[in-house]
Amino acid sequence: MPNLTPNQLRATRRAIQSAARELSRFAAENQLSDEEFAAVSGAAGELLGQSAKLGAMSIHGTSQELSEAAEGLQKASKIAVKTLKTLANVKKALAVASALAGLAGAALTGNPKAIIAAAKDAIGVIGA
Amino acid sequence: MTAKSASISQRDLCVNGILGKKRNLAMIFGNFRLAVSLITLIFLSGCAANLPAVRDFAETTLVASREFESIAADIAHSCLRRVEIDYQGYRIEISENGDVKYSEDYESGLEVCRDAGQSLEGILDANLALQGYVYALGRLASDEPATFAADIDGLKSNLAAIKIAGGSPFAGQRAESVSKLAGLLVKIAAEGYRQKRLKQTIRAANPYFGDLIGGLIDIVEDYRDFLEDERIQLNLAQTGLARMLPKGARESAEINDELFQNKAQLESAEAKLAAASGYQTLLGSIAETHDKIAAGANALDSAELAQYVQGYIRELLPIVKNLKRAFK
Repeated sequence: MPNLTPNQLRATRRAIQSAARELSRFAAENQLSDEEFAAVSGAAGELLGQSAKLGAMSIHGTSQELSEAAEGLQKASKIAVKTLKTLANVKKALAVASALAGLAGAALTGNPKAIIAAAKDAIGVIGA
Repeated sequence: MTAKSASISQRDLCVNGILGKKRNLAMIFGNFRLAVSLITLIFLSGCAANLPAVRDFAETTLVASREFESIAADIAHSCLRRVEIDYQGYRIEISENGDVKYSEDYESGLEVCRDAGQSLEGILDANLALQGYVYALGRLASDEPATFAADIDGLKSNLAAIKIAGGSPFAGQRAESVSKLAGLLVKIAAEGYRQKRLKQTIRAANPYFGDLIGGLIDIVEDYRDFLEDERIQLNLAQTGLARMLPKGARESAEINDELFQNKAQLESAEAKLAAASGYQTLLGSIAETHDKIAAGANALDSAELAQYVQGYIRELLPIVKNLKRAFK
């Protein structure tokens, strides 16, 4: 059964990493309460941990599943990064981070079907 | 014709040529000792050509490849540094019966760093194949024999165990190529290859060499991702610390010192990122220069090749200096 290619995994890792970078910028550039800052920096730290783990993953599936999973992961991450770049609302930032963490968590299961479902959910949450 | 008989017949040709030249020069100079000295020079330059381009490529690449060892060792360290910052204050849990243990989250964070640490042996083995090959090139270019010993099965299994990011950089074809390159090096040593088999060696090694360099480039690429994770985590920590430092106040010496340390770590991560990026580019140039040498293997002493290698060396020197500075 085919695997997600090293380049697809790397691209996914980087997409999650970019979201963490945007959260870090968000935390630095906005006046957050201590609680809000802890939540945003915790979410960014979680994404970084997931990004590092993702790189060493092996994700098997049919070619179509893998293609959809890779596309879903990258699309959701790109939308998240774009949203975070212009966001000034901490609740929305945390919702975006949480949606991405859920998606990364699904990716860490190595199951492409779970990734496809989580990507759809994440895109729904981020776009709402 | 066996390798040994080929070697003897070439030596015979040289000796016959020398004897002819000796008679002519002795007649011209009327001085046997002077003629012998000139003959020795002719012998050295005629039978073992001077190949500075290959020697310089080999020697400088060997120096640069030693710097890769710092990169390899820092992959797991960078991961650990990120985890240590991320879980600062959350590393320990006290169980209900009072036992002090590492928190589950911290243990889980460390797991990926352990994987990176376990890849180190394979990564160093891949780099050793590069070092062994360029060392052999330098020796052959100087018409000296090269020594090399390798446990090919062990090498294969160490390469397969490399798991950092993007899967295994030495899976499948690449692992095969590195093993074949190591096998070639063993053969070069066992059969006492010298300069006359240099051209053949370069051509035989070139396809494997590209795969070896491709795997090393992927490793550096992944190292940069680890460093970038670390850099983002350090930026978050800096924001957190800066929030704790009252505006305009210098009285909080403890926070001030932590911020100072954080800044030094950030600068170190950024210097390593730049140095690693330079080395990644250099790896590409190593492969390109080797391609050029392989393509010009019929004229390894050509001025064009020498000029090309000099350009490569000019590119390499600042990159090696940056690596030394970043990892001092």
